[in-house]
Amino acid sequence: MDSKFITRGLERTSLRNFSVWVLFWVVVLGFGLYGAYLCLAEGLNQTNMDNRFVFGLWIFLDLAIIAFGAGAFFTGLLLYILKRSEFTAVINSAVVIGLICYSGAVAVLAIDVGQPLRAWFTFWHPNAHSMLTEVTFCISCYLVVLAVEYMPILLKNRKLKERPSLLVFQHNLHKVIPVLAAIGVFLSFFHQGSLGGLYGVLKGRPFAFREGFGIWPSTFFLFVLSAAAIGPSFILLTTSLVSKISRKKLVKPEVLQSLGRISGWLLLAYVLFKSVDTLVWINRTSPSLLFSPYEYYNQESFGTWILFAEIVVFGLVPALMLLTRKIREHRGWLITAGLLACAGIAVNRFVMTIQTLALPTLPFDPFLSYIPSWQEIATFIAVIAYGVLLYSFSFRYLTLFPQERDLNSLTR
Amino acid sequence: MSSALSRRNILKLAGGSALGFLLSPMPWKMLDDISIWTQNWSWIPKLRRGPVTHKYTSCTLCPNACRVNARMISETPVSLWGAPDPCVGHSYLCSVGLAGHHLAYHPSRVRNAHRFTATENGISSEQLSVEDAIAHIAKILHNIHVRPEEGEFALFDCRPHGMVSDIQQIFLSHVLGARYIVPDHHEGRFMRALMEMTEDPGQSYGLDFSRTRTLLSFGVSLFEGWGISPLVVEQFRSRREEFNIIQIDHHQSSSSIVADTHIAIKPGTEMALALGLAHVIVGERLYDPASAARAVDLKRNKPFSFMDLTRRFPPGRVASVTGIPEDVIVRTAREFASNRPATAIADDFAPAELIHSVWILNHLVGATGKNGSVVQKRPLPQPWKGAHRTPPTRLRNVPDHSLRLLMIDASAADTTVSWPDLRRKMRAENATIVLCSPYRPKRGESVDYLIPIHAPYETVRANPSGEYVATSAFQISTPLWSKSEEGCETWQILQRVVSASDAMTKEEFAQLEPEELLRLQCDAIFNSKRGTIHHPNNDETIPLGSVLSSGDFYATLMEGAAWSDDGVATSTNGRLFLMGKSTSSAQRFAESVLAFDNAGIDSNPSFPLLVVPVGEDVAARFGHVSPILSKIYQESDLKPRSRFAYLHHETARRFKLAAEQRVIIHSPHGATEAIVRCDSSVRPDTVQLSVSQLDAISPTRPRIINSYGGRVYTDQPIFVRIERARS
Amino acid sequence: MKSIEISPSQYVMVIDADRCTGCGACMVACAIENNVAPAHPDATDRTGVTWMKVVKVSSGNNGDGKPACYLPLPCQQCAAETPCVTVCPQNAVEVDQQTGIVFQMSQRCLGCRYCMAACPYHARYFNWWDPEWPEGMEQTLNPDVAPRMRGVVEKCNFCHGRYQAARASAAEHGQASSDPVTYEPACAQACPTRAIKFGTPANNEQGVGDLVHSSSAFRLLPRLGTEPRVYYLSKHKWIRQMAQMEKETSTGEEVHG
Repeated sequence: MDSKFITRGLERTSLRNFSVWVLFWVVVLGFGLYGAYLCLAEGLNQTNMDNRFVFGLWIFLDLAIIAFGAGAFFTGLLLYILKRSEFTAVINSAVVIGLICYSGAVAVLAIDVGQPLRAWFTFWHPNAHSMLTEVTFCISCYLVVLAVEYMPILLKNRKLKERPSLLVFQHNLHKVIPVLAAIGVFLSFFHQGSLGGLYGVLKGRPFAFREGFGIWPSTFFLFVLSAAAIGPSFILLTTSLVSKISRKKLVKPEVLQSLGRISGWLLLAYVLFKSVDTLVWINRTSPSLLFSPYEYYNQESFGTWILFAEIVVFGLVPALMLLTRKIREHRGWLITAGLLACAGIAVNRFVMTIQTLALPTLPFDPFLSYIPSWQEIATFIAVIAYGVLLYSFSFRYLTLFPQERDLNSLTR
Repeated sequence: MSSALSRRNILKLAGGSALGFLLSPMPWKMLDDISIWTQNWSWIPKLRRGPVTHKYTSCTLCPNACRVNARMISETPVSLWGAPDPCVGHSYLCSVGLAGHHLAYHPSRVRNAHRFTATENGISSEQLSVEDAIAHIAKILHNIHVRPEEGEFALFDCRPHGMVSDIQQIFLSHVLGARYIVPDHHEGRFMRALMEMTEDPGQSYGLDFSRTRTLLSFGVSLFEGWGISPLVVEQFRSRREEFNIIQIDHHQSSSSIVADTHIAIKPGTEMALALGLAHVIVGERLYDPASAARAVDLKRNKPFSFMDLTRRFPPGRVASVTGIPEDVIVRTAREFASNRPATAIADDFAPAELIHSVWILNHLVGATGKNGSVVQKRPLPQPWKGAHRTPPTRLRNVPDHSLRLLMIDASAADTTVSWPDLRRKMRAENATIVLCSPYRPKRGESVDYLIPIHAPYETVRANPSGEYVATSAFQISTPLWSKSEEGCETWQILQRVVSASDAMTKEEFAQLEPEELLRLQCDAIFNSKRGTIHHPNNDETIPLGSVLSSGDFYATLMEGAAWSDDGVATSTNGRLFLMGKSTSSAQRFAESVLAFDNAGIDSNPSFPLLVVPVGEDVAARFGHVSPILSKIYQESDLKPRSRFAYLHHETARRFKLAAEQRVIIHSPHGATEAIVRCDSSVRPDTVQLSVSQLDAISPTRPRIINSYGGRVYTDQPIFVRIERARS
Repeated sequence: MKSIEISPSQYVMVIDADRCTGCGACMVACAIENNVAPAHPDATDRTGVTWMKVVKVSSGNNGDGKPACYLPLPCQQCAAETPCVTVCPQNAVEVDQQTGIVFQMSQRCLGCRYCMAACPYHARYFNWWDPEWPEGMEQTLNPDVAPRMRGVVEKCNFCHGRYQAARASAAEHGQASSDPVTYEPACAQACPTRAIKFGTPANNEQGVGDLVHSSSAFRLLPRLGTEPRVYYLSKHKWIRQMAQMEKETSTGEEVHG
């Protein structure tokens, strides 16, 4: 019935099936929005955050999905700046994923702050010394860039293409895309870094504090590197997932393997730098503030196993897996490696937010724990539902995977 | 004109408008407005403005009667502070007193009379007018008067103090068969016990620590609550280096944390320590010779030998009983006896034999002698001295199931009424309880009528100083709000009920208003022609003689001034009695010492932990305090909280318990739940529990004393065992 | 002791840990002076607002003669590299150069709570609920301090409202605005045992200028380089060592507060 809107040559499931799928996610979205509404209407007491756990599930997951959404800028860098043309196969999907990740993160942030109506104060009274100012500016700008990058994908819709003015507009936009991609890389570098810098500058939290280069702590660079490393992995994971759900081949296997290999190299570099950074922190930075790093791992919940897990199990292992051709060529192992890598980045973000806040700073403070409330989880589920819905509509009505038509016509 | 409405033109218009809009003040004004709105939502309170003035009054929330300097904005109190005080130099309000001006707006405040009836679905309440309520109650009283077999009428005065209690007692004496009931615990018992051990009849005693060098405190709460506390705080502030505090306490109370020396003692064995110290002082002849000469029974053998008694408590034995090392006991005795002037003190609610033992120590070191801290004082002049009064009956001495009608005067904020004990005194059926209080009855308090009275600072109240001060003092608690026409005091309700019931035998004081009574009290003081008046606003003290008329005197007191008596030269010739003045008191003391000797306080393996009850959150749970006290009792862990069981971490380890675990606490009488917290200031092999948890595990209801100080005694020691709760 | 760079005309607070009895009068006086609302029924010690918070600290061993102490914890008013000032994205925190007080502009605060993550002393409090007073009690609010609403961060500011009143009064009497004025925050005024003293080293009110140099003076977490303006005094070594993290942290330490 809506085949007019579906790109020529692509097969999509029936409108009825699609409606059922959409309806399910709309219901989930509704539930999630209710949780979010409670947080806005009743206040942040609806969460389980408190004066010690000032950042909770939302910030941790925000940091994680922004890292995952880095695939958007990194793929753009690979395609438009480094001219690796094989990535046209995934760039559109990457942009949509990026848009979902960033818009979702910004939406959650709007609920996380106590006074969302004052969100524009950061633009009006910016504090040049604060990492968070930098994050705010860069993420807002980057969200605009992503929205503009999404435009051509949207405008290439079969029906919309029929309007000449839009076609012209889209074509003009296309010429500007490399510039936008470069801006996106620049902004991404800074905000991914600043998100790491948020914690690295906290001298009052010796667990998170790092020395660095100039005003930027080492976590600045580590976060950029880890985001760049995980971006391609996340793209390959989402592509595989969409491929599985839609039961179609969407990209040539070499593209995914290429993504995996790039991810592997970057991940290896990240693990190396991270290990050096950790050693410096254990031996110099933390003791100079009179905090012995071994105290951090004395707690029942967070033993040294978490450090080991982050760097080795979910860092070195997937890096080596992704660099091994035999593993890359096996779809199942490739996906596993990608998942492990994503888990490693998630653990890193978790450690920087939740573990940092759980650990005491004053000598007579206890170690505290925190479990998110259902409203917090619901709000995040709303983001996931929103992402699925946006992606579903984009996948159905837009050309996210240019290679799809050829790959599937061959098998028909 | 064909291009007028072309797409391009519309786009141009739109673009230009957008740019122009941005260049206009509108969007920026809107942004600014948003920031202003977000500061000024309608539910943010608007602050009252106006001229700042100060009003002097005094606090009625506890017997200390602290002087108050209230900061007023447009005739409304905004904050309360302590003011200069002739008795203790300067009053410092406690955490409850600082927020006394909130009490008029306590969430439980009622301004209408209520009647409560039990229905199938619980208790229902209906409002009625005060006149109607009084009429109903008067009818009941009338029936009692006509048919005494129905039961008795009684007034329960929750905190007997001063003029109003006197009036109530006098008034009740004109009602046939009426009782005047007071709580079991009472203030000033420690000082009054001295009268049994000295010759001077009829005098009351106070304390003057201004030269004291050593204070030996047997578990007294020195820095919180009322009684001795303000006297100690004053010396602590002004003479910290010379004022040496030895605190004997079974756990690290706030007093022992700040004291110079803390002696950790096994609970219940304090008397052994006191007599052990006496043993050393007598044995090494460290006592004050002048006081020893006055102590007639120091060497006497009949009918009871003091020396025999102390001989039973050599340091070695005392060490094993109390858990205090022998050398500490000897050293403490020497320090106490030689670093004079020295004084020993005990709590008002300590067992009688401990209080007696502490006074023995005081006699020995000369605290009751020439340079000692114990001073004599004259009682407050009273206008109705010779009037007949109903003698007070302690609650526990009221026969069970004897009362038909009970009126409760809950005008004191520190009401800690033992409700089950109270209920037991009422007849099983057909009994009526009338609560006269500014606040709703608390959960578990089943009353039949509630008649609202004034909240603190809403009306004029007589406020004599506490029992411990060196001279009697008097001030008026002046209201901080303009007098409301509605609302009255308990004894006015009593007046009206009794008048309406025709149960009165004599019409004395029946028609007097509170202020008239207050004038009578002030006249009595004025006519005594002694004492001084202290004005807080200029910190000046003038003799009473310089005031020309009693009217002027009254006016001065209404401005917030305080009257204090002249000192009395303490007589140093009278005899002192170490065992007690009368044979019966000496016998009682000897018997309790011997009984202590024979009894043990021993746990048994099934219930190995001794319960140490603390009442630190009693004020918040049992009294009415400002909701702002949530800072201490809810938003911080400063005070022990009632859902926690505090264990020394060694004890916790021994019983395989860890902090934050849910546990069940079993005693032979019942069980209660708690969460474990580790605190090394808790004595090993004890568990510190809040008094509200004791109901379930104690055979008798613990006596709660000094709600803000937190000290609690149980009639018998409670032993428990603790195990993890299976969730 | 490290030499401090606090200007003598800026305020310092000296708290004698040996005199604090844990009575909580300072906490109540602070809340009344600064219009902090009573707790919401669901508030706990982790979600309450207590600009001044008194903490009971046990040492974990009994042998020292004083195994526990009380520490009042206001905002430490860090003088150097003030953590909360550098991290606020919209400059809602500022250090007043004249007095040294770190004051929070709650009307500009966005409620992102980054400053709370940065503060090592946990001196900042977030309004998780809208403040609510029982009906009628809002008449007793102090007109010198603006009440806040939910969603913003607040903290102790050494009773800045009192400072401004003192400054205004001094100006009326012709005092130069560069001379420090004498005033007392609510906590110092309320403390019954005079454990809290306040003033400028220049005017040496209550001897604070001398006390900060005494051998029993210490500050919390000095190695972080925050140069707090709140000094503590104690004759007991274990308290000094614990606060400065000089001793190895023993696992036996407990806290209530």
